[in-house]
Amino acid sequence: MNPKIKFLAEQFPCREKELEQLESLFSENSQILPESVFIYGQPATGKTSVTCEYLKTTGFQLVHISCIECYTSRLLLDQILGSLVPSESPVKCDNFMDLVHQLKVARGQGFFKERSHVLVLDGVEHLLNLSDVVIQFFAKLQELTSIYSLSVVFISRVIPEKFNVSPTVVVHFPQYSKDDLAKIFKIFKPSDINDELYSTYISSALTVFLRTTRDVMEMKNLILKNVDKYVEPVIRGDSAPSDVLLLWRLVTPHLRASLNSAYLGITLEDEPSTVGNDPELITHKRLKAFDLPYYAKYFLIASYLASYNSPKHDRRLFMKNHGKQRKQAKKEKAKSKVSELLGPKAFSLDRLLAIFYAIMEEKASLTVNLMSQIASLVELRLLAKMGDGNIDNPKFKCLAGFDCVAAVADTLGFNVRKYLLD
Amino acid sequence: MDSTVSVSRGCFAFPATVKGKKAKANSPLNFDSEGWYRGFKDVWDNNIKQLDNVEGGVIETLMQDLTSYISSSTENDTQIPAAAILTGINLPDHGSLFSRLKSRLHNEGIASGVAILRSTDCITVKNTVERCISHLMESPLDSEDEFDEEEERQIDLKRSQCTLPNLSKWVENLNSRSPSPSKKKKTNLQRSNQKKLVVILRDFETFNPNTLSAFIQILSGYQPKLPFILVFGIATTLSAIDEVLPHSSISRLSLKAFQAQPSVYFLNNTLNKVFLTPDCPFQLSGKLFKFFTQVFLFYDFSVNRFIQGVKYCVMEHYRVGGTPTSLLCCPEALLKGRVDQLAHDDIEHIRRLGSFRSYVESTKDKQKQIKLLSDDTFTKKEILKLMTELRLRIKEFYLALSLLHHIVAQLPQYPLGKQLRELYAVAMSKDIWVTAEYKECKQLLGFLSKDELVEKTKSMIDILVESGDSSLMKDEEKQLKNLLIAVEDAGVSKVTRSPMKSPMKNLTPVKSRSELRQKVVELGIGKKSKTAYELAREDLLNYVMDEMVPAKLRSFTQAPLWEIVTLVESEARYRVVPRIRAPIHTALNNPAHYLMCECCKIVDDDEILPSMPDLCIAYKLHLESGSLINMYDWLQSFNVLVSGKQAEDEEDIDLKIQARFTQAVSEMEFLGFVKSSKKKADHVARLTWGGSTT
Repeated sequence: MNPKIKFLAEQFPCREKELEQLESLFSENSQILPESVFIYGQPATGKTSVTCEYLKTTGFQLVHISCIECYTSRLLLDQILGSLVPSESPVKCDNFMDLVHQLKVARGQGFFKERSHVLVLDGVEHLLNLSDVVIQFFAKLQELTSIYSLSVVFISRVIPEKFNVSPTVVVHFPQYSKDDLAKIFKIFKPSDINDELYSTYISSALTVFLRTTRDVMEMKNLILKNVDKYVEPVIRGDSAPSDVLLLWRLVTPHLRASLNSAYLGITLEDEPSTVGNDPELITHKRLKAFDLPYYAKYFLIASYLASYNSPKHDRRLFMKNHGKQRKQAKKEKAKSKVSELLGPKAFSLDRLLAIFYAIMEEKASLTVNLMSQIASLVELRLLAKMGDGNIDNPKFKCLAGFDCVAAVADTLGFNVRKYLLD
Repeated sequence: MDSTVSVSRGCFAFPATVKGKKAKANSPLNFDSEGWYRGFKDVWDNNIKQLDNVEGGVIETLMQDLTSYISSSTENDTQIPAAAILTGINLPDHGSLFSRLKSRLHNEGIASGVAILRSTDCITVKNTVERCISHLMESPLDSEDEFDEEEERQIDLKRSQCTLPNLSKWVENLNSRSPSPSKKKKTNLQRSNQKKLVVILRDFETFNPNTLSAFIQILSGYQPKLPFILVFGIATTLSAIDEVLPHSSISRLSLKAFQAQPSVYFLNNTLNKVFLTPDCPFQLSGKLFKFFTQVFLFYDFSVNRFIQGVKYCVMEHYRVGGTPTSLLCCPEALLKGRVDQLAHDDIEHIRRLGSFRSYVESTKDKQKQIKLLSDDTFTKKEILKLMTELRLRIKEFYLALSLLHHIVAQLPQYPLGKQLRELYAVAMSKDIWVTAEYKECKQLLGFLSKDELVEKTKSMIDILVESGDSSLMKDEEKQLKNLLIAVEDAGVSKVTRSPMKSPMKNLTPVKSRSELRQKVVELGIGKKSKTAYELAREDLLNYVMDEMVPAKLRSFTQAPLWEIVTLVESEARYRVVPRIRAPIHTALNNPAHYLMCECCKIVDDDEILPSMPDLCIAYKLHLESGSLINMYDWLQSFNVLVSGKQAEDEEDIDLKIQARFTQAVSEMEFLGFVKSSKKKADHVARLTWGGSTT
């Protein structure tokens, strides 16, 4: 193996196979490159970094384009041309044929002779929004421009079958296994911790984290954040470094806690001085509760009731003299369970207003402000407006869950369960 | 039209000359010359300043936290620092919060660019990026208002140029222009000092999830080069973030949550510091005040709307009151000069006020009565005297109110409410000391321990001392001090005040068991002896609750000339919280109500006159029909009404009338009252007010 590759393999553990594949495709100093290579795999499996590092170390001229930011073809083409053919004047490239033409002109000037160029299109699935043929075009770029020292590498999370292209070679970057991850995280070992302790920590941390995330970068952050907690008992002398079980028991709560916040993506600081402006700490409960204007609360409850009760029960639920309840309890029970699982049903504005007035004790006249409450609930994603264009009888759906509605109802002293059929 | 210098014939485009000052051209009415408007403007401008201060004070801590977070954040390679501000539900008020943040970041030199994005501007990724970058690259000197200068900015910054590569060039330029002394140390140390690019998303929940996650991923791609910081304004809960964004985007953010003060807190602050003070030239009547707070609590939580509502009422108050009001309803210091300015007409105006008249009638002195009604100079003096008295009374009122608030605000169950505003609403609308809640408060206060009572009384005295005006309520202060000493000295030894009656005396035969029980209870009470402390407490409470408060907390709406300073509820209810259906119905059913023309006046609601607008006639006719309307019948009755004669068949109808009818119907359709029906040919379906919902 080439010493350069060996160095890379050390840098990226568990990617030897992929590196070998790349080496066979892009061997050093080769003038004729494969037309296109398709690399795919899960996020954070090292697709981009391995490929780019490899191409850089082996001396290829690398052009890396992140496709997600190319929301117009103009942006894409300008960037490609600008970095393939550097020039003084600002580049202008209107369409694909123009790109081919300008590349041909550049070839005539001897641009691609000395070094081989590789165009890396990262996140190529985003290009599908532009037009269907973009990817076909790049797959055939060598043929169109007849520059054989120019190759295109597609990097994607999506399997190649989803695209209408037949690239020359497909390289798959598989998901890291637990052992692979353990190997990777050894690289990030802080210098002041001994090897054995660190490796036991890694294995116990991975068992906790692996269930929720496989994203290497995220896991790295989590692992490095909690390593001190693991080492702490050893330093204080509470536990021997070899007592894995005790250490495991001590560190798990910390790991779980940081996992929770990681899932939400929010770091809740421990020091009270930095948290918010309120004297009281922002607890989880506080973060979950939110305040709505009085009528908006009732609207939310009414919409929940309208979504989860069938209209035929409205009379029984909301009218004072609703007559006797028929005994169909068994059948109904089975049905209502199903309806719970089916999720919210759409309801009309009329029904919402009727339920609203039925559950409200005081009278509120139907003013513009009252109607705007519904609109603001829709804005807050607590209600969803169904369909469009139906002005005279719009339909809505309640998106809030039971817990949220029950919490809101609690602040009003209103019992939601009483009005739910289950 | 300008002539051209060209010799050839052809079309020439004349670019429209840009109007220099839009605002002047736009203002339809100029009130500046009118007296009432000047008075209003003086008062309101002063108010705006105070409101601004209060608002700044309320969000000060949040601002400090945010700016320190933004300036200190050190970005790592993969994650964008992001601040999630839990702003609470109302969105209109948040505009000022974010624009304050923006100007602060600019002023303190933390950010080189701040972009405020609203979801309505950011439908696609392209829109979002372009808007964001054009905001970032605009110079901070531009006006803050993002609505007006939209067009002007477009001229020097083309949409297509707003791309991230251009932005990174711009930032490089910016950094190279500012000479940095330690250019060699291009390490993290310098990076953290680098000026940030702050992107504020005002209404996070309404953003399109796909757009937003793509936007975040694009930004994170540039994170190594450009120091982006995101700020989210979240109205509901933090969980909204993971509902909107996929995990792949969230993992690119390092979020931190901040909590803004709830808007109720903001409202209380505003009220206590700006409106509910004796220094405020105008006072809100109890009913009006209650109405506005209810709108706030029940509908929108928007302090901004609250202030706008009050502003409307103040303006209306000045407009209706005319010159005398605008002169007299002013800060106390100006009062004397203003009274001298009163003209004869103004004094006549004041004489017609209800409270002034009853004041005149109540004066015993006949001579004085006549003088008050005829002698202007004498009346002026009297007005000045009355106004000063009124101001004094308002001051006393607020002082007493704050005393009362102090002692009842912490009682269990809050019989009179926790907030000063709740007390104010009650005290303004009726005599608070006769209410049941007040009595309950007194009862609860009777259970206070010595320490609590002493503490409360001491702080009451402090309030009185701090009120600044030493002459105000001096006697009460003295009295309180005496009572306090009595309470402090009182021991807990038992003393009985009234000589005990012999229980034997009223031992009458009891007839039933309940009667017996009642008697026993009565006897128990009578026997209970009181300690000296209890007696002193009783004295103190009796004085405070039964003498001081009723004497001082009289609503000043009974004083003469109260109309000058108090805003009363007029039409405000319908202006501030408009109804939906009623105005449209009135306009169409009775056009004279709004048009104020003689020709359309009707006595009966069902009456239809040919002089009414066609739309009204068509509307009134359609009210008479069921859920489906036959077009031919409708046209017939329209024709009869307009032309006054019955048409035999279709050809008989004048084409002009038919055209008018068609126009009216299409207008009705446009307004959403009818729509064409598929059920029956030549019929339209009625959509509102009793029409079925088919």
